[in-house]
Order: sequence, then C-alpha cells, then structure tokens
Amino acid sequence: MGSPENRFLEEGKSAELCACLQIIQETTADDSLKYSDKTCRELARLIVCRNYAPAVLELCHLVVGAIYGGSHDQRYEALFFASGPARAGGFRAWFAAFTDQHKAIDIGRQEIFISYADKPFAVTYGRMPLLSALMEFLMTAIGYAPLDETLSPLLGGLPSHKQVSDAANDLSRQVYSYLGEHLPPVQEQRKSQSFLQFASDRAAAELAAATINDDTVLDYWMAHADGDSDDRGVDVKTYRSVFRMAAHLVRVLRYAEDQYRMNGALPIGTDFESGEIDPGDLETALAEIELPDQPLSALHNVVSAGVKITNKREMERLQEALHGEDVGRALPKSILRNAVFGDAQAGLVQALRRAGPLPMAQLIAALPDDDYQTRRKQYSQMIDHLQQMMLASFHVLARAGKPLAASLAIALHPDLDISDLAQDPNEPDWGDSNVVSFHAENAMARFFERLEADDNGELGKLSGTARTAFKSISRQGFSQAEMERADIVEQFGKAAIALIAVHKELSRFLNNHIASIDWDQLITVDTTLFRSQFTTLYGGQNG
Amino acid sequence: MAEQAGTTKQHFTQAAFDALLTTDRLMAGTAADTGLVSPTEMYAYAVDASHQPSPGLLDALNTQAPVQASFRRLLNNTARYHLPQVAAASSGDIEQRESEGCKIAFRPSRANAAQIYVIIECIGDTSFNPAVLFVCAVDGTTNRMELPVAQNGRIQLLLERESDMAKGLLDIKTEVYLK
Amino acid sequence: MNLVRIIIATTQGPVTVQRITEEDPVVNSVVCLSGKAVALAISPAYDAFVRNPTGVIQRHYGHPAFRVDVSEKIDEGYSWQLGLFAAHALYHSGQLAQQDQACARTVIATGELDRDLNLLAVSGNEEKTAALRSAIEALVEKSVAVTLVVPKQNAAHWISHFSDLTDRASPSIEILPIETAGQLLDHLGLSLPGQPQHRKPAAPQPTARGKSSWLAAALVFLIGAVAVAGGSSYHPQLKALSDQALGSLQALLAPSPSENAAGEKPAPVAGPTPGLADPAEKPPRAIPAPVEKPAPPPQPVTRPTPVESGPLIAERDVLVASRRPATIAAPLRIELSERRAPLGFSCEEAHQMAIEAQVRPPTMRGAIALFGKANDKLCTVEVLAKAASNSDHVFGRYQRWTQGRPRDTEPDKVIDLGPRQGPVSWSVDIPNQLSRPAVFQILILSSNKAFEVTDQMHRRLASIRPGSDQLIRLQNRLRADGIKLTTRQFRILPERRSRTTRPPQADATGAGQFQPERLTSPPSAR
Repeated sequence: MGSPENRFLEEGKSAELCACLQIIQETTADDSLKYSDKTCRELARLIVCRNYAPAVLELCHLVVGAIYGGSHDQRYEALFFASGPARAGGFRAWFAAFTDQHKAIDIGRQEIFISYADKPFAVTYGRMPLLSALMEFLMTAIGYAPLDETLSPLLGGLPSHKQVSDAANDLSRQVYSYLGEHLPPVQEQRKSQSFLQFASDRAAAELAAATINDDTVLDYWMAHADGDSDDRGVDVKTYRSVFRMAAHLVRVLRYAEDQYRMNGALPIGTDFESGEIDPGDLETALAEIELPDQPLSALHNVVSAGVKITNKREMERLQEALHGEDVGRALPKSILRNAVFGDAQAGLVQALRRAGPLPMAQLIAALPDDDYQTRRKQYSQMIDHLQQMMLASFHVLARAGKPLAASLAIALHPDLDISDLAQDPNEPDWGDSNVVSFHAENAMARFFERLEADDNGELGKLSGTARTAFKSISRQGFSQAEMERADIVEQFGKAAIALIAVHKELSRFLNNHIASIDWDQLITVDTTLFRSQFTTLYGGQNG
Repeated sequence: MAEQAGTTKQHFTQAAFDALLTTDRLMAGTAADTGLVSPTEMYAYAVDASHQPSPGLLDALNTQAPVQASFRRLLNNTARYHLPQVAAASSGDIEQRESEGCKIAFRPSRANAAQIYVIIECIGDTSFNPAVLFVCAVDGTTNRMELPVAQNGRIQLLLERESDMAKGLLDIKTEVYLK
Repeated sequence: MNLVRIIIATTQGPVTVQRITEEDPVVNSVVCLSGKAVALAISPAYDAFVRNPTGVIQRHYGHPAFRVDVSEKIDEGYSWQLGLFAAHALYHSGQLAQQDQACARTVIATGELDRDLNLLAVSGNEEKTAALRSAIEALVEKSVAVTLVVPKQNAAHWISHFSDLTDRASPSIEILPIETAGQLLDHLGLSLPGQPQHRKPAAPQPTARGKSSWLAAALVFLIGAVAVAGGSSYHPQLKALSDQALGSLQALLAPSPSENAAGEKPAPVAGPTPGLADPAEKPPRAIPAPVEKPAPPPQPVTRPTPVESGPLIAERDVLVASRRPATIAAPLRIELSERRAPLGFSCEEAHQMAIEAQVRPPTMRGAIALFGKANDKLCTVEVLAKAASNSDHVFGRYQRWTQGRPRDTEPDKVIDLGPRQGPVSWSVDIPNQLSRPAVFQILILSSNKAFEVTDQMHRRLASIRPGSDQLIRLQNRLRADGIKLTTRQFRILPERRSRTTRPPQADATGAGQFQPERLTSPPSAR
C-alpha cells in the first residue's frame, strides 16, 4: 500500500498534470511537432522544480511584446498559437514580419526589447519556445478564461513594468495553487528513497557516483522487483526503470561531486538544516545534469525537420547505448542488460496486456531475442552509420562553405594535418576585436583555401569520399535538390555537431567501457538469472 | 563544516534525484480520457476555417464545461463579429440577427419549406470575408460551419430547418460568432 | 401542353434540370442538388447569370432570384448556361418538364452565353459526347424526341460523334448547331420577352440529319465563328467583379453602335433594359453603420531606455557586469551576447577548428544575466552598441585591464570605433586559463548630430575609470553639447574566484516568486 502522497501522485489529479504535458508534447504545428523534446523537458523541469515564476514573468512581457509588437488587428494569442513550430527562428520571423510596432517595442536580432515607462525588459527569441510551451501549459492547466482575465490589464494600452510584474505574480499564484493540487510538495516527493538507501548501504563509505555499479542495479532489481511497488511510487518491477533510476543517480552524484571539486560547495540550498532547495538552483542543476542527452535530442530534431540522419531503429539503438559518459563508465553491463533484457521484459508485459492466459513458461524460456554480442555488433554498425552520415554532412556543409565542415573533417580524420589552421601563435591570448569570430574567420578562410587547392591530398580525398557517401544515401534530405536548400543545410549543420558528439561518445563506450567484458559468459549467467526473475514476476505456469 | 557540506549534498542529491524521476513520470504520462484539449488546436479550430478538428476536441467541446468556457472566451477575443442573443420576440421565427456592422437574415425557401436561406452580410469591414461561423448555445455547446466565399459582400447558406446549425441560428438564446 | 425536359451536357454526364422555383428576391439564386439543401459550387455564377445587371434571366423574365434543382452535381465551367437559359424560357411559358413529369421531348444543351445571348464555343466536347451516349440511346429507345443543341463552333465534333445515331434516319434525334440562344427559342417556338426579337437573319434550321447535312453545318459553323469573332462576348472573368465595377467595364467593352450595325449584331445591353419593369430588384439592405471593434487607444510614446547589461556569473570563468540603472532616457542600447562551444567541444576547438559557436544572449534571471556553466563553455563575449536610429552618430571605446586594477593602471588594450552612423561592436575571446581577473569598460558617445572626438575628449575619456566620479562630470559636460555618454563595465574572473549569487527568495506563498525589480547589483567578486 502506498503512502498518502504516493496515492495522490498515482491516482489523484497528477494524472491531469501528466496529461497537460503529454498534450504539449503531442501538439503539432504545420504538420510537425510544435515543441522539441528539449523544450518539453525544460518545461517539465520548471514545473517539477517549481521554478516557474521567472518564466511566467518573462511570458507576461512576451505577451506585451506580442500585443504591441505585432499586427494591430491581432491579439497575443496569435504569437503563441499561429506562428508555427515553436523555434527561436520562427519567433524572430514572426516579429520581423511587422513594421508598425508600438514605439516602445524594438525588434532586435536576438531579442525583443520593451521600453516601459518605468523600466525596460527584453525577451530573447531563444527563450520564446519555452515561454510558448508555458503558455500552452497555463491554458491547459488553469484554463484560458482565468489566464486571459489575468492578462487583461496588459491589453488596454502599453502597461508599466510594474503592471506586468503584478500580472505575472497573479499568474504565478494560480500556478502555485494548481500545482498544490496536482504536484506534491518537493519535500514529499521522496520517491527515490528506497533506491537511494540501498545504494548508500552498499557503498563502503560515502555514497558517490563511483560506488554505484552494475551490481547495485541488478541486486536492487532482484531484491525489490517482486514487491507491489516501491513505497515511493516508483516502478521497480521492470529492470528498465531501475536502470534509469540508477543512471539518474550516477549523474546527480557526479554533478554534485563536480560542484564540490570546482567550488568547494554546492550552490544549492538556502537552509542547510531543513534541506530546503532553491527552485532556481535545482532547475539549473537539472538542466546541466541532463545536458548529455542533448546531442541525441538534437539528432532527433534534425530528423523531424526533414533530414533523416537516423531511422527509428537506428535512433533506438543510439538511445539504448548512450546515456552520457558517466553512466557509460559506471554501468556498462547495465546498459546492455537494459537493451537485451529490458526489451525482453517489455515484450512480456505487452503480451500480458494484450492477451489473456499465456504459456508464460514457454515465453520466458524463449527469451531473450537478442544477446549481448549481437547488440555490440549493432552498436559497431552504428559507428559505421554515423561516419557515413558525417561524410554526407561534410559534403553538404563543404559545398555550402560552412565552417562546420572543418570540424567534421577533424572528427573523421583525427590525424588530418591542418595544424597551420590553428590560431596564430602571435595573436594575444585575449582575442578581443571588433570583428566577430576573429579566430574562426581566419581559420575557416585557410581551411577552404586548402580544400580547393588540395585535390590529391588528404582533404581532396575526403571530399571525394564524402561525395560518394552522400550520393549513396537515398533518404529524405539527401537529394541533390534538397542540399541546395538553406533550411536543409542548416539542419545538416545541427546534425554535424550532434553527430560528432554522438560518434565520440559511442566510440568511447565501445572501445573503453565495454571492450574488456566477457559478454559470452555474461549472457549465459544473465539469461538464467533474468528468466528466473521473470518467472517469479509473471508466473512460470502455462496459462 | 564537513558535516554541513555532507548534509547539503545529501539534500541536493535527494531533491535532484526525485525531481528527475518526477520529470520522467510527467513526461511519460498520457492525455487519454482526461478531457483536456490542446490550446493550439482549440485556437486553430477558432480561427482557421480549414482546420479539421480531432474527435477529442469535438468531444471536449460537447461535454467539458471548462473547455466550453475557454472556447467561448477565445471566440469572444478572436472573432471579428459577435451577434448576441436576440431580444425575445413574441412568437414565430426570427427574421434576422444583427450587431454593429453585421447582419444575418433568414428567408424560407419557396422551393422547399423545410429549408431556409441564411444570408450573412458584414459591411463593418469590407475587406473582411468571414470564413467560419460559430453558434454557441446556452448549454455551452458550439456548432461550427465553414462558410463559402462571399458574393458581392454577402454569404448565403441554404440549410435544412431541422439541422442543428439552422436551429441554433434561429434560436434567440444562442450567440453567433464570425471569424 | 407540350412539356420539354432540359438536360445539360457536362463532362461528367447528363444533368437533368428537375425544377425551377422563384425564390425570395432577397436571396441569391442557387443551383441545388436534387431538392437537397446543397448549393452547388456554380451557384454564385448562376446568380450572376440570373441577376441584373450582370445576368440575362432577370432582364428577360423579370424575377431576380431562382432556385434550380438538378439531378447531378455541376462543379465548374459555364457551359450549363444555354441549358438553364432554355429551362428558364420553358419555365416562363409553362413548358418545362419538372421533376417526374412525363414529356415527349428532350433538349440536351451545352453552351456558354454572353450577355447578348450569343453562344460561345465550349470545351470538353469529347468527354461530353462520350458521357451522353448511353443516356441518348436510352431516350431514343423510349421514343423520346431528342434535340442536341450545341454551339456552331463545336458542331463538327457532335455531328461526327453521333452520326451513327442520326444515320439511322430516326426522326427522334437531331443536332442543332446554333449561334444564339434566340435560335434555340425559335426552335422551341418560344419568344424572348423583355426586348425586341433579334434573330440572326439568315439562320436556317440547320438540323443535322444524316451525312448530307454535315457539310452545310460545317459551313455555317465557319460563318458563325467569323461572326462571333467580330462581336462582343460575355467574358466569364467579368463575373467575378462587383456589380458596379462590372457595369462600368461592360459599358467600356460594349461595341459601338456602328460596330453593331456592321456586324448585324443585336445592340448590347449594359444594364437593365430601359423601360423594362424590374419589380424584383433587391430591396435595400439596411444595416447599421459600420463600427469597428474598438481600437486600442493611442499609446504614449516612450523613448527607449538603454538596455541594462547585467552581472554575469560563470563557474569556470566568471564574467561579471554591473547592471547600472538607467540615468536618463537615451536612444541607445548595449547588447551583450555570448558564444559557447557546442557540447563536446572546447573553446580552443571552437576557435581553431572553426566550429560554429552557439550564439545566444546571456541567460537572464531577472535583472541578473548568467554567463557560463562548466559543461557549456563560454568562449566569447560580444558587445553591440546600437543607437535607436541608424542615422545617429556613435563613437565607441573598448578598454580592457588584465594586468592591474583599473584604478591604478592604464588599460592594456583600447579599441576605438567611430564616430560613425550605425552600430559599433566588439568581440572578446576568453582565454582558457586566467590567473587574475580582467576588467572591461565600454564607453559610448552618441548624438543625433555629427561630432568629432577631439584630442581633449580622448584625454578625458582615457581618464575615466570604472566607478569613478569623473564619469558623471564628463557626462554632464557632453550632455551640454548634445552628446550622450553611456558606459558599461563587466569583469571576468578566474575559475577559483567564482561565486554564486542567491536567486530571489520565495515569496510568502512559497511559490518561488520572482521579483527582479527587487534585485540590486550583486556584490563584486571576492
């Protein structure tokens, strides 16, 4: 039986909060998802950390910007709901489309700037996707009518900064009240204590990232999976959820350790005794802890934007293998177990949901479908795939004269001798200048000069290989016509950064973290162990 | 001092760990059966005549009072013309509804008494061509119709009298919005 | 009475005119599908075809609004016009076979009419004839007399296509190529009300019966084509114009009387026929005077105040700028933005390998701008000073102290820009390893008039130090000359000297209320 707060989260109105976020994740605009994964995750963090008030204030200023910076016959809703997919560039274009803004609104290259009579305020385009998602959340959670009522003082004429702050405070109070009903207070969200306690008990000394290992994950799952559920409302029945929990904990601990190492203290907590955590600090910390997920998220966005760097299966392989450097190092076996037996368990659960009595013993005896070596092979194939995609991206970016081509060249050929492109040793340490991208501009000019002149050299050969790679790919975004489009080139630029990071992490995972493990032996041991546990969990009798 | 630092780290670890797990749970939720609708879709339904609403939105607009209230307010804010309830007539059908700059007239069809012509004229803004019409009933439900292109500033509909749209338009208690 | 059924030949197949009803004059004429409340897409064109001043039905038959029910959809084009005109003529004389009324004669028509009732050639004849064949055969089978009425220009195809049927010497099918609607009325024994008869004088009864008629018909077709080419026509494009515009245009397009005489064409009518009663004109539409939704009241003009650049705090390298309150309103903005190495790259890689840095403004937490996270390396800070108007004159000075305290030493780097019209900007690459703090100062002179930075002014600017009293004195002095002096400072600290700021405290509700206006500049770095 769960604790009161657990029941609250499980059965109560938190389902509505989940639904609010799910709706935002599924919202489409112009036939694509309106909000990126990153934006949705950011919004969820704001809510979970209860650090919504600063964003609500920005949102209210953006509402003012939308009213007085847009068309006279449109209201603020048009900016949020009729401007297409929520991307910084889209918002910039939306504001740039109008020429008859109120004089107090200045449309800058990175922000809109509002000159209130009492105090100015600026909202950046980069921030607008999140604010738009927040608007979506407010409309869903507290309702359009109360929201619009609260914003109405901003509509009758350019308000003062103070009026905007008042409206924001009012809205924040409504969000506070909503979350009071739908999200338990931070102190009561102690869902993780069981695993935390288990990990602490296993650690010889203080709990640290290094004290969590593959055995911690497996042992915890073996010991706890057959209970109803963890006291704190966390699903511990599936190996996958326990693995994910462990991965989170590794990252959290690593972050905390880094902070101590760098600053001698955690920039967290206003009251050490009571354990009060400042919402802003917590949210900032979470954003950093989740940073390693960004390259895959970026790749996902590129695919959504029409350049099919990965198909669904390839993306799944990357997602199961890559969890950030710290997790890859700490939990290599767990990653493969999650891939092989996590899938197997998910299949079992699905089969149970779909049909009535099943021959469980037979089903379990046939598991897993894959083994560790097969998965390793698939990951190695993904390295080849990533390299092909990097070559293709190089071709597109070099043709477009984009500096990222140089980065891809180095990533593809670490031995490539382009040392003369490096910074001029005579240049001062402080590259202060009135020219933007001082070093980059110089280096790039030298790189493209070399690329053109070096037909038979390393760079010339790379160009040829890249061209061939590009032409051999028949996927969306890889046609000759598409590579001429500026938006597609931009997507290849985004893909390049993500590809380099993903390639680097996957190579490290394969070569450093899982290379020395005897996977053949492990699959034998694990198969027996997991089958036994599945039998305990789902019954071994034929139905 | 070291003890205090340890406590802080412990608190932080617990809070961050909890927050990550809660974030996961929130992100993995489901929108099914909650009666909530996407604001973006609701807005599109209110302003974009060509928008094809999802069954979920239509269901919520028919059954969920908060969604109905939100939608009504959205219409109030985004529609170009609002024709309020008609002052109570003694009896019989109403012949027209009007507001400043806009009129909706009703004429029975001589060819078929079971049909009625609805003529919409907006002279308040000659550049404005209504594209969609909403009829909001007192029970909160809304009927929507995509309008044909105006002919010389007027839009004409031919409706079955017994259709929900005709009944709604002829009902003095409904309110009409044109966008 | 001899009832006649009208069928319209369309590319989709035959469409029977089921019924015509006079409607309330206030409504627009409509074409409906089989009695349902479904107005077909051609309804607006049909209304224009009916109603004065564009149409011809009201002109000749008086009533301005009709509903026509047809058996199948007609989606586009204008070749329904001849058939519906004939249907109206028959309806007017009580001879239209409506609904299921039995009749011994059927007229199948296709053709577009101009306002003078001249018939224009139509397209899609292949499809129309192919789609009609089985229907015609069925009618002939029932001994219904069928007349195919087509524009003379298209007659050759129709005659050729149905030659097998007409060659049977069956008296029940004939093809009538015509040039005007009047010829069809003559054929039906009807007269055209509302204006004098204007028939083509030499028009024979050119029925096509058997191959012997074909050559004669072709000859007439050629003559007809020449005649039509010389006359005016009822261009479909005009139908989209407003009544008033159309009236004017038609008046302009109408051939002169001399042209009419030469071409033996009937006089065109550019409006309602004079003297012809038009009792069913649309009643005036009384609509209250237009009132727009209330426009927002005029906004007070607020001059932009300078952007407040904020204290910037990083963990590896800390960049701190003091956010000075705006002293006076001034049309100048100073924007700070940061360039960061993408995830997985160092700043060195960003510089040397020419990786495109991620450019973004500093993250704002209320009044405090945060620069920097350990995992997300700050490589460059960019400064942009921009006047409200591009015509304003701007001079900018960038000064940097890395070796000593500004109070005690000269800056070790100075970059002057301007005076010039337009923005001034600098980019500062942050070194990897810092052993001591660096202090930066941006000084901007701006004016809407051209000015020079004299030697004396240079000396005075050089004497200004962050936080010194000289600044205010110089500001006052320059203001008297119409020049505004704006300054910004920021600092970059080595990693070990970093510190964190306390974010705003939660309000009484415990909701983590954020009130940046309460914030003041953070304490300087330790």
